[in-house]
Amino acid sequence: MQRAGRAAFEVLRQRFPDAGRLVVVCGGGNNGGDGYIVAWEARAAGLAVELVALSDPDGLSGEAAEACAAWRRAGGAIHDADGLDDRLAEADLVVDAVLGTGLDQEVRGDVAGHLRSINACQAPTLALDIPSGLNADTGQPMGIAVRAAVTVTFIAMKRGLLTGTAGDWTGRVLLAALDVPDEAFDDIDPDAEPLPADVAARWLAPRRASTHKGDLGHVLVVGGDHGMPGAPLLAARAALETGSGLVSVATRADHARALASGLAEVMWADGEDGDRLAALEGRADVVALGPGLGRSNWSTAVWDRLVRSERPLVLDADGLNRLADDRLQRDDWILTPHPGEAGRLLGIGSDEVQRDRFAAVRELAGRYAAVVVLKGFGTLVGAPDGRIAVCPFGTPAMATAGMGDALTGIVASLRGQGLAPFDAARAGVVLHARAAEAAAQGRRQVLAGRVIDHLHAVLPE
Amino acid sequence: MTDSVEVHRPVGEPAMLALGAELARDLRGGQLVTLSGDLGAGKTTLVRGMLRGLGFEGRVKSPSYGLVETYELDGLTVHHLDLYRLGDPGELDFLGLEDLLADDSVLLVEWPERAGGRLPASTRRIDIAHADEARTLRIEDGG
Repeated sequence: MQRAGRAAFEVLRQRFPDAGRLVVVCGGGNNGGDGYIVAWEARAAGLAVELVALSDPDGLSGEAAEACAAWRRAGGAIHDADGLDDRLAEADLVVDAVLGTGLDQEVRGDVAGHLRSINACQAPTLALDIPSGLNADTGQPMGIAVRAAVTVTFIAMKRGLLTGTAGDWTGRVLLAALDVPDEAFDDIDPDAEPLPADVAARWLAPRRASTHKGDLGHVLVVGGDHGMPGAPLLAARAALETGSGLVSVATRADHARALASGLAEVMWADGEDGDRLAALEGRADVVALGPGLGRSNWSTAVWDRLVRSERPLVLDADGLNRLADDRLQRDDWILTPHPGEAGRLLGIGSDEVQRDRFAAVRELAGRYAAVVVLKGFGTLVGAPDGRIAVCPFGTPAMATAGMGDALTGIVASLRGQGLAPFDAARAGVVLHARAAEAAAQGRRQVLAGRVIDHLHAVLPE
Repeated sequence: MTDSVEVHRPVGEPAMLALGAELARDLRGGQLVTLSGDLGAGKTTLVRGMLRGLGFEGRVKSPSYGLVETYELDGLTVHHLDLYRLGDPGELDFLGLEDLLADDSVLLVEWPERAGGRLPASTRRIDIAHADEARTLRIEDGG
């Protein structure tokens, strides 16, 4: 606890160097104990610190009680919640040490009122370990949560900080990696693997001098009903930029003719011609089915045939909506739903998916025996065996049309280059998110085409 | 040898279903009807119309997974085959076509081209050509 508090104070000094007047709001558990230590450190550094305890400090136990005693020995005063609003109004920075990671029920009414006061005050908030009120597993507020500018989390990333609506509450998340013995990790849920930035290099070996395009996989993108030629085009471009040797698009005959000169590197095929489609499928290493597929007779006819392809399959967009209507089992497939599509597949609302994204992705992966990419803030990748990975990269600027088509192309490309389905999905989401970060560079909005143009910057050499 | 040729131009899915129901009246045990046309031309829709015309009210889905979907109807068994996923014409032998085609059953076969000439002779061939929403059905009897 001592180390956690000190590490938090280091972050406080770095992030808020001008803060001179602190209000530290402490709860009655270990999170409160961290607050006492931060208060102690701040006071020792010469800052003006007001400490507000929302529960009786005499009720603290263990290390938290020791931290409180140390604060008192140093001459620190402990205020109760009366006058909290006035104190907050005077603060440069609020330290949230009310509720920690153990919260598994709705925030109590009186505490909720105090959290609202913290949110209402002008000064930014630094949350210790997790914003109070946020569920550490699901990333959802338990009735209410503190909206922090920065969250400094201890020991290990909590999966709830990386997904769901967590980003709305945590602000910037910083990991204060404490030098802790391995035993301390025992009670931390090992099922969610935070993906590192260079994860693609695990599976994408450097190319040999003699590498031939035939070694790099042939992706067949199928989609683009009337009025939706852009979706398969983006998926195809993304697959090419990710390193596929050959990319074909089977689409509506009109589009195949019109787009042939638009992206010359792609082989455009009349997707209404069954013999042509079957021949292409026979030569492909992976099929990406769904971008702009639509809901016409053609869409149905193509979906019915291709979803049963013996090739590895990446299923997205309208391809997933059809799956919700027509349960079927197969293997070697990757599904890439957003929360709405995931909800349709599970027969629940998207809000319910968002309430527990980990449960949703695990259920989908198990039910369909598929690798499932659940898109959204903190994209999750689930494997049929229950493993889950979290992508901690990305930016709200990605919330734009075509972004899912780009991801489909990236993941299909990696699968076609020989990566196993779970590996292709894990590497794909990280490449996609990091390319978007590189493309956004402070922009409010980043277009899918621009993200694709930045893939080269994040791919291993 | 061709006995007759009919041409129909249904517009829209309801018209295609109605045409299917009308064609169903001609179905007799022992017949093999092939349906050709592009993806999305309306072959499965026409089959659905035929099955409805014969009194089947359940869901008609594409049988491409198992290649054949069988409907036991009043006095007639309909086998709906979709050969699109046929990897090799030789796989047809495993379907036991001789057993499927009996005096009280008909075969409706989509993608007959993929059988590589291994199908029994058809009694009726339906070709569906399409341009946008317009459909032209050419029905040839014979064989």
